[in-house]
Amino acid sequence: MNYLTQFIFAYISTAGFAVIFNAPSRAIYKSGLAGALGWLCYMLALDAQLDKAIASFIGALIVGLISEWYAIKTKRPVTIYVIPGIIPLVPGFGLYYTILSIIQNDYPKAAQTGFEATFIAIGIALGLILALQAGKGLRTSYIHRQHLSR
Amino acid sequence: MNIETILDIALTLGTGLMENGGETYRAEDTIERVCHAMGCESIEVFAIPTGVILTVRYNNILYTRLQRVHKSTIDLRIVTRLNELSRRIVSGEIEHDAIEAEVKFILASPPYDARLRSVSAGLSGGFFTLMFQGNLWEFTFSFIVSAVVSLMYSYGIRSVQSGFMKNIIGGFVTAALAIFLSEIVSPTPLTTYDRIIIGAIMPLVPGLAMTNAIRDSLSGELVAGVTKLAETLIIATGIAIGVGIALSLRLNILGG
Repeated sequence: MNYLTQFIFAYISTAGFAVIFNAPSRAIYKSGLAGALGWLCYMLALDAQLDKAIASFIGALIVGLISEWYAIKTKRPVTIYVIPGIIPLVPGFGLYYTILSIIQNDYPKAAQTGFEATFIAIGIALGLILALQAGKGLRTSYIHRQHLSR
Repeated sequence: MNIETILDIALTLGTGLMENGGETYRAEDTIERVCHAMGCESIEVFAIPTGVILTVRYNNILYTRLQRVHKSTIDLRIVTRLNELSRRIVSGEIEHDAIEAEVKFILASPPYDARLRSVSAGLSGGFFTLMFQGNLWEFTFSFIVSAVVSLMYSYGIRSVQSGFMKNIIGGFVTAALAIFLSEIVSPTPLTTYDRIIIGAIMPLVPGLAMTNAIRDSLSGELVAGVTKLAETLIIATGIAIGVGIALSLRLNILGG
């Protein structure tokens, strides 16, 4: 039940961001799905006692793979699915919190949240790079297959 | 087709992509393909988040142009349509004379209605608060704060030129409204401004820029990566200063 509600919350948040980012109307629900599934995998990974950065890596990998799948199917740039989809995972709050801690002279907290945000961002970046590379491979084989079937 | 028009089209396409959220490598790739499709040779593109340098050989003469990139917003519809247009240019489906008008038309296309964006921002902010274990009152307040801040960005502070000032104002208004709603308006003592701010700050914080900065750095685009990282830190600093002002005002007015 908890997972289901988290999925729905993440779906609406991501779709809302797709509207804020002015995504084409048919891309909105697709990026919503990518974001929600990525967040679900992130939660599952956290509950399996994995580190936050690794969980973010897994989440971003899922977001990237789904986005690539849609990008290949609709022949649109993968960016328009990835940018809203990645939003629930991205360490924006951690980054803001780091600077806020610095302003409030709480340096140990700043160091802790800062490193955490950096590792999460590295995890997400690695997940995306891996997924987009896989997408590139898939794309060439997909185009190749289309040529053969003609 | 004369060389000025070719360079104009290629650079407007490339910077248009970067100004609206396209990746640096996509802009470089697009410029290169478009120039090639229109008959240029030995094309060299160097794109960073603040500008593009392009050198091509056309009829055996070398031409170089520099174009600055001034804004960095996200408009995925423009990215999609510019991408489609560049495909059509490369595959020769579009008359060369029609390209310039088409690019201008795409770049001028308006975003979704400000009210719709405001409601969407409210929904995103509210549901983020729920994702961070907020209760229903906090959801409602977070919805209101996000929607108001979004409207403010659409109408109110367009005239503020400096991005840094915009972030300070955004952070301040978000935190001040969250504190006001949770400590003065709220009917229950169970609401905390912390969880409202978490949700409502989401559209402002630069998490995406940070991830992109690291992505660029890891893919070898070091200049782009470092530029974006600096941008990220400056945005986060602006927001944190805004929120910090609101929090210290709260301490002075409402007490601990």
